[in-house]
Amino acid sequence: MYYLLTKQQYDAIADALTELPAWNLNRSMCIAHYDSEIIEYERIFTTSTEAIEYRNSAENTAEWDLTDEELFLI
Amino acid sequence: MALPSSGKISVSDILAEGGVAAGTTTALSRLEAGSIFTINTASPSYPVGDPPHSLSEWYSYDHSATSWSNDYALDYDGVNDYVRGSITGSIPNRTFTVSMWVRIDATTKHNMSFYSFVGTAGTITNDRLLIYYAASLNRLIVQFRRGSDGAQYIQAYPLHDSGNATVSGVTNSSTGWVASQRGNTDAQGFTHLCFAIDQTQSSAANGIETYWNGNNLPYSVNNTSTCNTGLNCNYMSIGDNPSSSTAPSTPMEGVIDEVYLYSSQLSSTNVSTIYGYGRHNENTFTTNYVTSWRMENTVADDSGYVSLTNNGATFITAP
Repeated sequence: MYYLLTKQQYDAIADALTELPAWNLNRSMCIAHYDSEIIEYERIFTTSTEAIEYRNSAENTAEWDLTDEELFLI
Repeated sequence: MALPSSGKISVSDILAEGGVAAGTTTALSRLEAGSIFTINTASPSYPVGDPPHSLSEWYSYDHSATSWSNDYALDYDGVNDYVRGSITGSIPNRTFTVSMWVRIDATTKHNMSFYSFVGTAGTITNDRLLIYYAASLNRLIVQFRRGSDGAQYIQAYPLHDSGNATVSGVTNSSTGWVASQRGNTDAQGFTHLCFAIDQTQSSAANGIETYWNGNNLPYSVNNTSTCNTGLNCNYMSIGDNPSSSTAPSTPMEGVIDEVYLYSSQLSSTNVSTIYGYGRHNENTFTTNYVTSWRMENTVADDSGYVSLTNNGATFITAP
């Protein structure tokens, strides 16, 4: 499972995670991969594809990824 | 040195291959029974031991061969998986060739980085090399960037354009390089990518050559050659962009396997040879070999030059 967590929600369960999460640009939210149950979360994705679609959606991408120009500096 | 694959061989040749002192004599039956020396079954070819016995059964026998198999590959989920770490040994960063097998599993196209090194992790304006797929323009890009002034050394290959489409098979730019359009691959969906680089050359057109399944991608755009000085890079990643302040950044969604690094800009003939081994035969091209990340249940490299940490990527079996 992949969980969308606030920083506070992440801090509460961080010790239980075996993988570091992916943070958004202002580090207020993250997506954590965890195969057990997390009680407090904003949203749950059952597959990585769902998590990627959320992150890359036109609505959300600006919060999660730098633009190509910023990222690649070509 | 293995025995020849054809022509004349003698019992003496076989004994010598097996490390037996000169002057020893024996019968073929005793040799095949393993009575004189233990037959190395890791050799690609060895006699089965059943009569009738013949010298030809010893063709290509290699007494010093080690067993080789490709049992694992590294699967990145495209969300939070990444492999990064410090360069502690002699990793070439100007003149080198990277050979790797990749399988793209993305449902929809997005940026993905394959092989990168940077000055400092998380600082986007440091010296760096990025080898990545730029989804918006459907381009495979090799980009050096000097941090001090932004000078670049780039070749960008539109996968769908001009002669590249025939080589890549990724013909629809809107769809991009995704699982439903992996382009030309092996039977398991893997593409062999090879980046043969000599950044000391004044022209990036000569200094960067990119190969897809052993074939040169002939058409590139945005070619820039303003940075052919050495860069200061001590940190690297396989599967994302380590210069971004977020981790991972432009993460791989798919599988990476058999990453080999050489300290020269290999020729097209050399690249074709490496591609010809495929993923399930040992890559025995050793000229200017530096190290490899074979992803055999570890992200450690063969020579111990890099200290990589795996955050979440999964070793899959029988890739």
